[in-house]
Amino acid sequence: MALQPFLALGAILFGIGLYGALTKRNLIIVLISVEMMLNAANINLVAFSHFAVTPNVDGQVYALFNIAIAAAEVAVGLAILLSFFRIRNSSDVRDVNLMKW
Amino acid sequence: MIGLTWLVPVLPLAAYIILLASGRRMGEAVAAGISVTAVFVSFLLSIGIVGDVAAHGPAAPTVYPWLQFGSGSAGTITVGYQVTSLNALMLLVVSLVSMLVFLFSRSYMRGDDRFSRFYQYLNLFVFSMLGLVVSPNLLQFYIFWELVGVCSYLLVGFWYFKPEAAAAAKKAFIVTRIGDVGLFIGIILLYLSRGTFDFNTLFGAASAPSGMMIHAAAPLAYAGAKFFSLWYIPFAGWHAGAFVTLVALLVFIGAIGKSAQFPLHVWLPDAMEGPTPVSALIHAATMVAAGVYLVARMFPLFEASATASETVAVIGGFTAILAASIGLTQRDIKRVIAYSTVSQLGYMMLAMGVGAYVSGMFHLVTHAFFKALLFLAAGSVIHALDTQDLFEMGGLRKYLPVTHATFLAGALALSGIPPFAGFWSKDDILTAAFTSGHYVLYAMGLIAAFFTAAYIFRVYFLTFSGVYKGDRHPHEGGPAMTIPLIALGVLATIGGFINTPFAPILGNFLQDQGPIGFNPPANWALMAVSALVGLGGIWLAYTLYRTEEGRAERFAQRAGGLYTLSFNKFYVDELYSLIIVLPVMKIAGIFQFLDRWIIDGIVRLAGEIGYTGGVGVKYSSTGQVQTYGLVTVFGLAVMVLIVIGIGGVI
Amino acid sequence: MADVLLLLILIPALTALLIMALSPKAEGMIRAIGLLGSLVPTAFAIAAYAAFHHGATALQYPFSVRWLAVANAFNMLTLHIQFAFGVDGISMPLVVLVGIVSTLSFLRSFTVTERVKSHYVWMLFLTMGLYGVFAASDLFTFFFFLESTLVSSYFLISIWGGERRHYAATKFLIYRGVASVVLLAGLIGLAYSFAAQAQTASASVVLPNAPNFLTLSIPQLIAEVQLIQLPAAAQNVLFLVFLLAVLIEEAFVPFHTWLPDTHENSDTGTNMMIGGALMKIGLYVLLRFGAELLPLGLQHYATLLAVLGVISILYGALVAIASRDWRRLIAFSSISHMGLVLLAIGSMQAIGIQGAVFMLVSSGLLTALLFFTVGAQADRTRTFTIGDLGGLSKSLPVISGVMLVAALGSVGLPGMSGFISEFSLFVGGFTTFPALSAVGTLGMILAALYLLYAMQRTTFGPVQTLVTEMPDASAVEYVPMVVLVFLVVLIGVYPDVLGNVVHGTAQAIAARIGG
Repeated sequence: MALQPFLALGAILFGIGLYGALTKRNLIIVLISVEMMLNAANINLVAFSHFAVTPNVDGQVYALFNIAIAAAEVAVGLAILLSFFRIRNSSDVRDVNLMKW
Repeated sequence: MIGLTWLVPVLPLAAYIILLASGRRMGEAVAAGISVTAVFVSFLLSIGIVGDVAAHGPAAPTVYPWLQFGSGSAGTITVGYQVTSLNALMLLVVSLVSMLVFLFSRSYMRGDDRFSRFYQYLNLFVFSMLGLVVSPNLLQFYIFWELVGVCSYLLVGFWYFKPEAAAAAKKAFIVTRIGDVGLFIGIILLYLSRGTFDFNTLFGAASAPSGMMIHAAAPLAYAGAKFFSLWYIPFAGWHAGAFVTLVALLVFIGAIGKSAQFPLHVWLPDAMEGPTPVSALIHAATMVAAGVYLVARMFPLFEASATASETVAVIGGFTAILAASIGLTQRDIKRVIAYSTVSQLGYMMLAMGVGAYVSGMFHLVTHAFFKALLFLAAGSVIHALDTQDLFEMGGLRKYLPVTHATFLAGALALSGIPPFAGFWSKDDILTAAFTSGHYVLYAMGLIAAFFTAAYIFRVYFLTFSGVYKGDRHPHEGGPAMTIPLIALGVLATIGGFINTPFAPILGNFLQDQGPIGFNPPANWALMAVSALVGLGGIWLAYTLYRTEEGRAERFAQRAGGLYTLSFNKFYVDELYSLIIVLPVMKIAGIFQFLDRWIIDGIVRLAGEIGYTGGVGVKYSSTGQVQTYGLVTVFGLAVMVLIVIGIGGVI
Repeated sequence: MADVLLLLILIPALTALLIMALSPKAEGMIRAIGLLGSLVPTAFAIAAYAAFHHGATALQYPFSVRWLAVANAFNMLTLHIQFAFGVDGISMPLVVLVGIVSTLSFLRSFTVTERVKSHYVWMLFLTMGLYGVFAASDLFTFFFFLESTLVSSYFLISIWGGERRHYAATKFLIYRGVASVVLLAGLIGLAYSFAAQAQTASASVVLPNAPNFLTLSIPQLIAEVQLIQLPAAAQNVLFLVFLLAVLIEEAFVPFHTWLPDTHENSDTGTNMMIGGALMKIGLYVLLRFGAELLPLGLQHYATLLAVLGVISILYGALVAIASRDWRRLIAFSSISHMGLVLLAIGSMQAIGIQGAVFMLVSSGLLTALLFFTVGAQADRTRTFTIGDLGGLSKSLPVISGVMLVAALGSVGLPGMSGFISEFSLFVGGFTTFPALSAVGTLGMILAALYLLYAMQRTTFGPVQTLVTEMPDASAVEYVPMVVLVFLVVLIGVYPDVLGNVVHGTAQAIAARIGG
């Protein structure tokens, strides 16, 4: 196996995530898209850690960090989403304008 | 005695400080007593000083360092005192008149709320006036010059609750201030060209005060600005005489303001809103004469410039006739005498201008006596009647015998009837004008003399003859009022004998160090003309006001426009308010508008632009994270493209 | 005695900290401690003034402590930042002025009832800052204290001011903030230009501070300027930068509109501090950095200074005539007076520079006195509007009398400090710019016009105010009036009391700028 397919996978995944994060109106999908971008980064980290000139586990360690942070982020994000849904009865990003101006 | 000269002004100052410190607690008698005593001692000292000067000649100035701003004595301003014959004479006149006025005020101001405050201001005035007289240098002179102006301001506005008094005080200060600024510039230019303020060194070597000479060719170090051609006035390139003329005229502007000469004469008649003793002391005998004294003190400067002297003479002559013609028609007793003062000061200026130094000073002295007398007598009348309108008086000869007699003496002196004091001095001036070849000025002086006699006897007849038109019971104001009147009456009667053409005692005294200016020779013909003109004026007043009822009114109607012009003081006040006061106020208003709406407007506009811009840009922040993200990605893409285009990161 | 200047800074600062620790309810104690915290330094300042060595040219009472060294700040040179103090004939009188004005403002602040504790804390910090500005002998120290005055006066205006206090305080902050930034640029430029010049010149000239060419110390810069000169072009640029800062800082036309707004919306104690002491900083900067360190720049722009000065004289006076509020009138009057100082500095004469210091002191005292008396009458009549007042002499004879003294002093009446200041300034002015100075003398007439007109409306005439029965000056109010009138008259009658101190330094500066 070569490095390129993994990088291609990561890039495609990141692109899909970015597209979703920037265009989708539903907050849950936006959150999922952000997760996809994080995971795209994880794939790159793991790939480089395996195919590097001197392979080591540093990349994998960072990937683990990332997963933990992603989990925390999702927790916080969902909490905000839930409380937002309670007061606005909506999960549309366009309605999230409490701090506008 | 000369060594004690400093004490002469300091005594009234001490009285001032005592009165200031004790405030209103002090009783009337104590306040007046302290003040009169202080001035009386000053007067005695002045007599001694005059005796000393007559016996031993003038003393060198005594000076103390006051302010150092450069190196050595050239960079040090000094203060001190100096006694010359001119100073000594002025000391005597000022302290004498002050003493009498102080005494008079005891009675005149009785019962006023601020009695001791009145004496306090008077003391400050006398201190300043005496300080002015003994000043050995121009700067100190200017300091006291301004101080007497302030005292005048305070005393004119003494009855501050009267709006007219408040306005008159302000007017007096501001109008004289215009003159003062001229003097201020003159002093500075003189200092810059001669490097000193001292009168002695200004005009010549200190060792020879008699040879007070400033020639047109005198060294003028002042070369004007050295650096910048745009603002450079090349005094160095001027004919030195032109510079001397400029300085002399600037100094004379100061004298014009203080001595109420045309065109700055407008403040003096208004200043009559002050208490009458103030008018007698400040606005007749002493302060207004300071302008003449200034010209006398700076006489060598004026001698050095024919143009300046001619200007002095012409302004003096014109003022004399202008003010006299206004005096003919005024209804207010004090205003008539005030215009008379302006007119007489014009005579003194005329004398100075034609070079008759002694004549001018002589008239200053006699005028101080008879004009103080006229004002005090008018004060006595006002005190008795509580009105200043001539047409509400009449017949007072019966009720106020002393006032009547003394007023008559003063009026005769003013009209120039021999042998009263005014005759000798006024005739001296007219003779000087005639013999020095100023025939037009002589004619103007003669006409003014005719008017003078006419208006003062108009006052006399309206006040003292006929029947009393009011309903009060007028009576004399007691010895504190009558003693000064009698004293001044005697002086107005015989005071002229100090300098008759046959025995020029004053002339010899003033010229003890050598002749100054031009001494007119005795001329019988001219004397006779003066006396006749005076009598003619009296005859005019008599026929108009004593012979038949209503004749004066008919005369006024026939005079028509002339009468209106004179009654309205030739509309000078109106003219000034139209061409000076109004424009200044308008310009101030425009500047105020400019400041509020243009300059500050631009400042606020800058603030508004920032605010409005911020508000505008605010709407581009939609709050949508997705929009921000898109912009970010787009920006990143652009940056990547740029990097690729350049071909590497830096 | 040597560290007296340090005490001047420390005592107000420590007193402020002490007051911070007190309960806000202990108002009496706060007032007493605050007054003490301003009185003690004043006593020290006066003692220092009395012991001032008249002949010496070096800075006196020097104190310095190193704060920070930045290696290789410029051309391998080390930059030493220090807290350094020292006074000469120009700054010594101003230090005493700060002391006197601040103590009297503290007395006046007895009438403040709102948030007393913070008021006193800010007043003390302002006092400290003002002492620091005038006593500093290091560019960094100077700038540090300058900024501290900005902060403290901002709070004094915006919390205890009048109706439009927030507007005024913001305007004040923006204007003076901009001035500070410009000034900072000038200060840095000054230090670095001198360093570069000194390094180049050190090959041929032995400089006293070798090899520490990069210095922020004012005495060192003064020592350098006597041996080496910056190139004319550099001096001109730097001078322009300083001039711009001064024009804003000192409220010269057309950068003046913040001053009337500030004065109109500040309480009387703050006005006394601002008008009496803070407003002297700008011209002090011009004397200290412009005249002393950039002589060629001053020579080059002397005409510009004089023209700007005359514009301010006339403009300030004319707008003052049309002012309806006493505080605006005083503000424009002080703009007019400061224009006179600009004219005299432009004249580059010893007597003009001496007159400039005289005028700074004199106008500080007189402005404080005017603000105090105007404030005292407004406590009673509740108005500053000239048209609403009248006949105050009747009900308030003492306050009106002192007000008249202050007004006449401002007009330049002999016997008071204003005259000798104006006189010296004009002698300087006429030496170099006769025509411009002649135009400037119109300001003397206009000053009489607006002040006496306002006095006539306020104290003379029939009583107009609604309240007719008012108590005259209280014992606490007597103190500032008596002290200020005494000083104004003292300087007027015996000017050498100030001249002795100023004289030597003014001579030295004038000698350098070719006066």
